[in-house]
Amino acid sequence: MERRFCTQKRETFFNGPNYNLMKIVHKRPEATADVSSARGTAGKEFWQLVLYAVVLLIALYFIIGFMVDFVVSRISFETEAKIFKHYKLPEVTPRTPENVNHLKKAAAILETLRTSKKVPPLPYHLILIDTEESNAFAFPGGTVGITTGLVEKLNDEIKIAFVIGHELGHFHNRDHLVGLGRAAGFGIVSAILLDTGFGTKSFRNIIEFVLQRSYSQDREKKADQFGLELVYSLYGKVKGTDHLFKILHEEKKMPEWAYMFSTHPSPKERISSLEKYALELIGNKDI
Amino acid sequence: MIITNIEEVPGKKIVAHYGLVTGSTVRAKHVGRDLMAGLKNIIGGELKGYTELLEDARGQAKDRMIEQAKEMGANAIINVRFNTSSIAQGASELYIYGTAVRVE
Amino acid sequence: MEELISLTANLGIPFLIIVIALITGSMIERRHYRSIDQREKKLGHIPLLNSKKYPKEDTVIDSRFVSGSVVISYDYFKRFLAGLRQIFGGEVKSYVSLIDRGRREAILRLKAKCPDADLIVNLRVETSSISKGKRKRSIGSVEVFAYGTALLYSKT
Repeated sequence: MERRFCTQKRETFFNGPNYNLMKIVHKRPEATADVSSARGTAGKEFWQLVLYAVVLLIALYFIIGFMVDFVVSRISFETEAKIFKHYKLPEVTPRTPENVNHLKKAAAILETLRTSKKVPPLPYHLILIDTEESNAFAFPGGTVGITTGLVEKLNDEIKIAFVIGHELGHFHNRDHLVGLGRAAGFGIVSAILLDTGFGTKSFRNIIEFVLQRSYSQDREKKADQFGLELVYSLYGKVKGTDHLFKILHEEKKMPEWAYMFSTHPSPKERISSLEKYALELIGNKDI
Repeated sequence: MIITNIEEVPGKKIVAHYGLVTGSTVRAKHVGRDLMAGLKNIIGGELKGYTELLEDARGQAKDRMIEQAKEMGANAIINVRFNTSSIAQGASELYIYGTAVRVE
Repeated sequence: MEELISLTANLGIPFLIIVIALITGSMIERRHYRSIDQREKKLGHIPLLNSKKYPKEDTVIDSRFVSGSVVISYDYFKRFLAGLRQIFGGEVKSYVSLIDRGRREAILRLKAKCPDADLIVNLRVETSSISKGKRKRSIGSVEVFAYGTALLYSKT
């Protein structure tokens, strides 16, 4: 009868020690099992893992996107104003008296624009950002930032109104909140799940970048449309709204293909889609 | 395949020694398991997920060693040694080696 | 233009590094394996045993302790693969071949120290990770140390 002395499966019966001297037959294994399975598979493993990671990241991106969209749709403009009441950006004192005038003018235009019913009720506030680059920003809570570089180049009321109208479009579409939420959500989740080692972070950045880009370009065009409609409803004309894009086109000097990787569409593309909106709005693509 | 971690196979006569056989694998735990282990670390105790993972990996390394021994025509492996080392953040290496022999 | 520069810096350069590491890494690995295969053939006549007992104990005329070691490092590509692998779990194949190279190299160096030996007994192999570092991105490397006793039989 076999005595159980050990739970490990018994592989042979032991009858007692019997050690004999033995000879050596030298043999070498033809292929070592562990290595033959791993040798030269780096390429295959790379593609497999990259595919998995891309699928995972896209799924994460959309799940986070839906969650953020849902949460943002629940936040009213009053709540937004309350949340970001203390979120203040440093004020920049204009360098030249000219800038002071420009800023005053822009602030007056903002006051005009906010009278429109389309513009969401937020405590708007215009600030100057001291850089040569032409740009404008929408910050959470109703702060509109405009760069000194851009203020200097815009000399006409309609042109300034369109730039501010575009940013108001972002407030209307909640783009700033959605963008903030997406960046925070994706950042937190990927820091926990995906930051496992060397290189994975830049890999994550690439995917995030590509995903963000297509989404963001669409949002920019919607904001352009909002700006155009706002300017038309208040001023009754849209001539000069494309001036911003002409400036950007001259300034950036990026080849057209490079905009594939940009958060904003190319100025040329924006002008043509603006013409399309104008045609729909006033039956005339003269902008 | 008879596996022992002593110098001989008791009750059997070793007729030929074939030399060293090895098997190894490097395993990483996935992020989900890592998170659970992180939580478990707070209260202490056995990390069942890791135990299973290492046990599984050890089994795989052992299978690879046995495969090698079979290829040589051996029917037993004596003096088997296990070696576990953490070679990088989050990756453990399991290495097993022994001497392939033929017994009567 | 600035956007383009930051784009290249943020996305292009890591990608380039990984591609370069893939090409050079696999080239070095292939070359190393070729040299290992060659030397294994050359030194293949010395059998290795990891047991203490060995045949013909009474005819041994000389014995000597021998050891061989090697420190081997992961390349960027392997580390990138391992990083991705850690998201999903499973076997890190890129490290398996790396450590296998290290181990065979260490054993070959051990054998090369006693090319006239008839047998090496009680072989032990140690693997330890050195300079792993606390940060995730610090360079890791593995040391493989093999040691055993080389025996010489009388020729009569």
